[in-house]
Amino acid sequence: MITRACDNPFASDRIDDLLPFDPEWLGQTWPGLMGQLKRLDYRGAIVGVHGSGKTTLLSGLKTRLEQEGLVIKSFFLNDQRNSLSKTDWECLVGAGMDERELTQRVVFLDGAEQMPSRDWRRFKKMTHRYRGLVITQHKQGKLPLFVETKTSLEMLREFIARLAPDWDFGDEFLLQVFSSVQGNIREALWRCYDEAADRAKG
Amino acid sequence: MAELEIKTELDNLAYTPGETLRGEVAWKVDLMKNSNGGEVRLFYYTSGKGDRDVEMIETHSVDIISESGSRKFEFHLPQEPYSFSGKLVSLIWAVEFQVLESDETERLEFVLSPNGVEIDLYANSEGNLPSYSNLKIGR
Repeated sequence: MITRACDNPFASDRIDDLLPFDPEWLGQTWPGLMGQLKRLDYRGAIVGVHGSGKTTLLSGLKTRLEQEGLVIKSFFLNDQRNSLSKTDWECLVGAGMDERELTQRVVFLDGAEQMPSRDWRRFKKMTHRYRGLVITQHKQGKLPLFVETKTSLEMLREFIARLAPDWDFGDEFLLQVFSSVQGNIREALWRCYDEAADRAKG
Repeated sequence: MAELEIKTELDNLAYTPGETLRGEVAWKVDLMKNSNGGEVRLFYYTSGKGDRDVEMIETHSVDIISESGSRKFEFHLPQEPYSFSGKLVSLIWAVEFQVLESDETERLEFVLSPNGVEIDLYANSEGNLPSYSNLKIGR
């Protein structure tokens, strides 16, 4: 019986640790994804609905790009914070960086759809001299499509099996959850967290 | 692969605020791969439905000059926060020993509270709380 949040198999740190982005979810491989990004000259958009793995993909991408000697600078926007701070903009200027440093830097913008159009034009212009720019957004636009993240009921089943192999929620619960979250698998896993906690509560 | 160990004095894993936590870290490492020493850290973190928060309290560096060895450490524990667990979040205190330049870490969790027992929010809650499925956090 689960009585402590840290013992809940769907605790967020467990999800982060046990479910790193796997290109197989999209029928891809890491070399395939990296090749695609290179063909786009490191400028592209990860497109997908809320909770479909865009940020998780960015995290995996960061590790791989750093292994290639590139330096990642990440910015994050959401519905509570839809513009960059003054410090962020100053950082983008890249003052004091030489040409080599500029061409080693790749900028990530997570939540690009939140950025107002005028800011986006400025942002795109300022990041043009960097090695790359990878953004996430819910719909296509802004940059060429790099990859589209998708989810499925099968993915949810697999995630649950990995996080909580001893738990059986039953098909009816899984179907009901998946159909109600519109592809947002993170939300589906939160519902599983609640269900696990409620079952413990009795 | 490094072998790391953390032991507290008398194997104690329950402390009161302001108490001193004393212990010893021990290692068996390949010096060729781990020449930058190590660190012992005192910290707490949250685990549960929301994002994980980590608060580093104190860090001691450890010179690793032989392939195996040990070093004593001590941390003066703060007054708060207490260790607790509810359905939505747990707060966990820990000491961690890491050999730098590697991902090898060893962690030892302990309880910090006035009576040395983790505070159980669920046990101390009212019986008529709403179902957790009806609560929203984090967004």
